[in-house]
Amino acid sequence: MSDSHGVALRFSDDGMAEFERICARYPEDRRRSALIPTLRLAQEEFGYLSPAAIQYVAGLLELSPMDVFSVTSFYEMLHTEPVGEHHLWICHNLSCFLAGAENIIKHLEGKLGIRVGEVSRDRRFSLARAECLGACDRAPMMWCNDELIVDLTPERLDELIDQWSKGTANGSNGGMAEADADPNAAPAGEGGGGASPESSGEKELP
Amino acid sequence: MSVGILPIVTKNVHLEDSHTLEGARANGVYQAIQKILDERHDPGEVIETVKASGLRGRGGAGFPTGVKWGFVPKDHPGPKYLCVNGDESEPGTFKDRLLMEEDPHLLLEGILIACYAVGIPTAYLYVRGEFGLAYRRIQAAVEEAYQAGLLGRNILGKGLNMEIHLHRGAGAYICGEETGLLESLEGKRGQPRPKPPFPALQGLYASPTVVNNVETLCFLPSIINNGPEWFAGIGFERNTGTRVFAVSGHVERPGCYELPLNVTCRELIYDHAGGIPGGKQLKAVIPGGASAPMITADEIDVQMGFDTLAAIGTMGGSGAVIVMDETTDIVRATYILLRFFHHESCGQCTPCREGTGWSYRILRRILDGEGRQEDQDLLLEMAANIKGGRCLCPLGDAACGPLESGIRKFRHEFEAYIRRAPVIAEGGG
Repeated sequence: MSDSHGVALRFSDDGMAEFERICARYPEDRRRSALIPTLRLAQEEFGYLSPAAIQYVAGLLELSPMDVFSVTSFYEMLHTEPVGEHHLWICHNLSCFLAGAENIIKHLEGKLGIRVGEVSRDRRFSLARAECLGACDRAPMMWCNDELIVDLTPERLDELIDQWSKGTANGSNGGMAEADADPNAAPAGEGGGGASPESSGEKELP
Repeated sequence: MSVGILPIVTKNVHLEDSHTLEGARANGVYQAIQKILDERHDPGEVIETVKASGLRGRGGAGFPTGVKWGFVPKDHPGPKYLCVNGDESEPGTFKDRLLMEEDPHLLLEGILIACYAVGIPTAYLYVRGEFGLAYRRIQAAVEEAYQAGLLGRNILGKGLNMEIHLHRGAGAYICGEETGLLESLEGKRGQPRPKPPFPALQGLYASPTVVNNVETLCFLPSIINNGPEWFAGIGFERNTGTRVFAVSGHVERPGCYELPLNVTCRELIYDHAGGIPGGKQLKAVIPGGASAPMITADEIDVQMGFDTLAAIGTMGGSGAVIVMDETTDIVRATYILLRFFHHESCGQCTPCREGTGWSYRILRRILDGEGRQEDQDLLLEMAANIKGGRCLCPLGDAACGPLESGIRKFRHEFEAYIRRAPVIAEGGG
């Protein structure tokens, strides 16, 4: 039960307290119900669900690691590979498409210098396509930092990303962010790797 | 009946602090459960009231709520559960999120009423994994309710005991299907179960279980407060009350509109959502979420009831209305929806797993200018072999909604692609 550096993984004290609160919601003989919330907790604590993290969760709930992996692989929000500090999950379903989501995805790829499915070199950003995220009246939109960020435009995204690049905003103010970045923020910022993207994550799309 | 007291479930959502207990109490939340307990209503009487109101589930299937409750065995010796479906993920739908974020106490009161009626001591509220604010708001509301004696033991001093636990999902459309939700809540892959047995007999942990949608539960307090006749007087026969239509796409004012079920699609789009921007013409509407077959501009005088939409070959579904103007590329819209269903198919049943994938890839090839003359008929034939009870759950059938309606109603657009002369050059949108 260790990561690639041989350090044993375990929840922080706060994490362990949260794990116990999660388990308390379910009948004692139904602890498996705690699995998905515990995997989310593990992801928060360890960054992503590495084999070591999966093994740790399996041990906590007395399940086999393979069983836990099969559940992990079913859910979009559970990551078995590292994602960026800000994982930008952009809706590409119909209502967002009608509002220009493909342009938003292209813009982000250019701005960040990564393609959909990739993580920026500095590990600050990763980009993914999402199915409908339930804010179609404010399309195009994305999910990031546990918030729905709505009414996206290239300009607003540039401001947000510049802020995040400087680490001044983590978007955790608890509301549905309107993508209104600080107007005083500097207009230019550092992108990611710098390679020019050639596709928008779905090779076939023009 | 007077429509003056509308809206019903969204009446508080724009009020400041509607999500707090203080705000909710000021808005009259918890009066219905107080009344039930004060007047010692018999649980069976509450079920009858809900049956008489005609309330049908607002999640997708439109099944009568009181009837569903009636399937739960009354004298079951072991535990029974209510699972609240807050896993809103039908594309185009964003009304349960609004209710959970802005009026969580109304939802809690609805849960209390349902649990009281069916004799359920424990409710699990499954909140879609991506809905951070909704989860935090409900979590805070549950804490407030426990502290105020509205949850837990001896509720309102009347001897009623009830627990509510939150459970947050992790991203999978299929967990909105009721048995997929139960599997997910049990810590497994969200793969739907064979039915029967139905959840009312064997649901969560193989115990009798009611699964109700968030919006459905939010209607219960007003039905108790105003009586079933009042609710049944809104809308029309077997399609009673209001529902929250989530309107998106090419309209001036996208958003949630709570309206009686006899509102027409035209009124919803033009009178309420402000019509199509830029004076453009309407091309197509998806009237009930991605699973609902598209209707054309000629069909929008239909009333938005479950039965009236079914009568023209589509469905009310989740109440999500996606509006597409004349610039929309229907081939691409169909492709986007099939891509979605293919991505979200849980993979258990071959017709759905393979059929949605094949359809998606054929649509891709049509878009890429490599369509074949026989492709449209091939797609229709595949749809015929996906749907109609060949799978454990309705996802495969749902995928056929946009697929068949897109081809049947906009065949010329598919043909134009196949002839390499797309009708909408820029890919619409």
